[in-house]
Amino acid sequence: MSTTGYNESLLDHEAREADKPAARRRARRRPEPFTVASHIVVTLFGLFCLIPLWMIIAGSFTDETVLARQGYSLFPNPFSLAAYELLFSGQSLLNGYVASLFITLVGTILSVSSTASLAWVIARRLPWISRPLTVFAYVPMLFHGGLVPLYLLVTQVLSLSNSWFAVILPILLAPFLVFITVSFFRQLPEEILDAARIDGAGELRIFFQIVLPLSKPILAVLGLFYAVTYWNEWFMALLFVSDPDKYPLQLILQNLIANVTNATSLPGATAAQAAAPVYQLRFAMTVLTVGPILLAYPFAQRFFVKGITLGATKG
Amino acid sequence: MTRNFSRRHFLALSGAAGLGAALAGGMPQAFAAGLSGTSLTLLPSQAPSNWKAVLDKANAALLAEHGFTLDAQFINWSNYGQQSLLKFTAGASFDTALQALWLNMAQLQQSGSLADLTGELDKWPNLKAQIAPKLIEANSWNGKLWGIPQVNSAGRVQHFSIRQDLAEKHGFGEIWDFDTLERYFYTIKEKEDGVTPFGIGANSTWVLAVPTPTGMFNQQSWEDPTRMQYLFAGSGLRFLLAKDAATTGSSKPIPFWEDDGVVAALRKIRKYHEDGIINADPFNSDSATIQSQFQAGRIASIWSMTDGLASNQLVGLRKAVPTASLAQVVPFGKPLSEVKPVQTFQADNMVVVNANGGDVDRALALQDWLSVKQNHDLIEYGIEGTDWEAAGDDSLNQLSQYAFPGYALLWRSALERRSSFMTESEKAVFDWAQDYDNFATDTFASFIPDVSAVKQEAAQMNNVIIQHANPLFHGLADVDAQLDKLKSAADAAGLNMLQAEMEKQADAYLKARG
Repeated sequence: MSTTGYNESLLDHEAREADKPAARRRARRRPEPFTVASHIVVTLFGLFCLIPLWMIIAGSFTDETVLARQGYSLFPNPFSLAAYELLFSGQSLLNGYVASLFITLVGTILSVSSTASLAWVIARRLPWISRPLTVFAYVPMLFHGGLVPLYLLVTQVLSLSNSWFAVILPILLAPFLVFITVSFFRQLPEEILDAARIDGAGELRIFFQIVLPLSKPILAVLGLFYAVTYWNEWFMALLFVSDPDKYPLQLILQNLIANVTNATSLPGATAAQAAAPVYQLRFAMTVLTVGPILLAYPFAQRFFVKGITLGATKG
Repeated sequence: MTRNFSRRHFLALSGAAGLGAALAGGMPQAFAAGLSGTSLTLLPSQAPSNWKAVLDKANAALLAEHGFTLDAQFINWSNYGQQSLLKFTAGASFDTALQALWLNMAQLQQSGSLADLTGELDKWPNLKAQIAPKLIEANSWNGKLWGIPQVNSAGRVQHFSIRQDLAEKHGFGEIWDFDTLERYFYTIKEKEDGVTPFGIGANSTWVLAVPTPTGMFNQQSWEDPTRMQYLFAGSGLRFLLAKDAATTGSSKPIPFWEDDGVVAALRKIRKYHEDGIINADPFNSDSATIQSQFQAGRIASIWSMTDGLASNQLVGLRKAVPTASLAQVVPFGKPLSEVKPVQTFQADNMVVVNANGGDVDRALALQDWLSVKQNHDLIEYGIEGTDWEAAGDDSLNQLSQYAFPGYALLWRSALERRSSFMTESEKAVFDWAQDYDNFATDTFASFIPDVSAVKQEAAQMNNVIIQHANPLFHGLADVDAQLDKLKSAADAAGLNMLQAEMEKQADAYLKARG
């Protein structure tokens, strides 16, 4: 009995010993209550954000009569491409994408270049130069010349009517972003710059080969902000571009939605226009416009957060 | 140098000048006027689907006939007002644009941005033949014409477009009078689940109460459609002027809330709101949303105008309700042949000429050219055979998506064609609205109040109306309590000054017209 009892207790002990790491592993694996709660909250918040987006996508594929009768649903039933057919049957969306891409790419490159250059000069605290440039960048944050002077400047002085640069130039430089960049540049270690100077580097070489490579986070932030601004820009195009073949995507869609919205109540509309799918079209337009720029966020995300926080810690 | 200019040169020049003059005598008037270049016009909405082909064809004809071409810049409706104002203000180069009192026409006229067209029409026979003298007279401001009125009917009367299939389903025949219409509303509410009897958007609910000459739910105005409302700018406080002003010479303007018929209408609207007769969310519904709901079969009746457009709804409606039919209920309570409502004949839309960057002769030459049926059809309906085909003398079948905003450039009542899908009910109303003799001219027909003396008060009053009157027009507030708030806010905003100025100007108008 005793032997048997001893053997049993030994076996139990060994088994307990053998189970210890596994128990520890299990204990380690067992999620903390806070982690569980935070996962649930984040998941719910994620759904809270994603479901409306999904409903917009589903709505853009749902027949207008059902949308008007029953409201939104999670799945398109009955499935309808009427809004997309209308969108793609109007003015050439391809032209619009080309225009928007040109404005976004060229505009972003020009804006990032000029913002970084101006911010660097301000950040250097050069006598007689930095302070006037600071004022130059600061004043437009407070005051605006007004629409008529801007219109006269672009159309009559710069003669940029019907040019995509008329969309780019008026919003080339965002003062707020200049000051964010200045803050970032001022955090760069002065020793690195001094070392470069001792090695014989000039100001331009320091800027291009030392400062810019160290400033990728803020450049990514600038790029993202400017790209989103240029991609969404339609008002400057409305002001200065009158050739429909040069309309950016946003203006084409803005025109389309405004005209369909008004077609139902205005004389001169055809019956087909009066019967255009208003709800469905609004959703489809949202899908088409947010889609491409949404893709830019994952690429810039890691720089985005880092750049903002780095720039914000030192004034 | 003077020696070089010999007698021979002089004779040669004189001969050339004489030859030129002789040739000009046999040429169209525009060529004689030396027209050239491009007549750019600002238009709302967007370019029609086949616009380039149509424009090429039109320009070939225009160039041969008049020596200039046409071009159009389309600006979407949401931005048209602001953009056209900006272009006028900045002195941009264009000939014509759509303007109206509900846009910025008064402001542009006061700032000298519009060319004076008084007497100019006499030079253009085709144009003159298409614009009725009554229309010119009613659209002249203090005797001066600042734009070419664009209308497709003589009178404009707001009315109801109702689901006639539902009316017949529930035992209603043709609806004429207010009481039957009200019964129709309550029957729909009771027996048609999920259908709102009447839907209206947020933009212009004042039309439900204030007479122009009828308010849609203003029963008193149904019985006596003899008053129009007047106001200082495109929106704001609406005044009603004395009915006997023509005989007494005194306008005695009152704000709309002092009229018994309007107050009764406001009470009715409030009741309809509480009973679910009117859509519950008028503040959040734009007209497009209401039309969409109507076409989906969720609303049984909506606002319409006598512009031949109401039947357009049927195309979308029959997708959701294949058996649907429409009827027009005009708010007079009796057959159209028995009524003669007043009208100002002031056009909702005008083509104005840019005084600073435009060419008056070229603009009017274009208007003249567009007053010829063949040219009018080309621009308004597109290329015959491709975009449309004739159906009888005055109707058309559309073959493409071509849709030109004719009201902004070339509406001529006698030249307009009707859609082949226009319902019989609407045809009857539209036919009636074509004849000036079916209407009486309002005492203050061409009276355009000038806001400059009370600009500040008018702006303040505009805010008061938005804040305190719109809830009344929507039926969202208790009538007595809200009227008290409205009156007190209006007093604070300068009601007395606005009323006195309106009276002064209206009386002066009466005196001037004799």
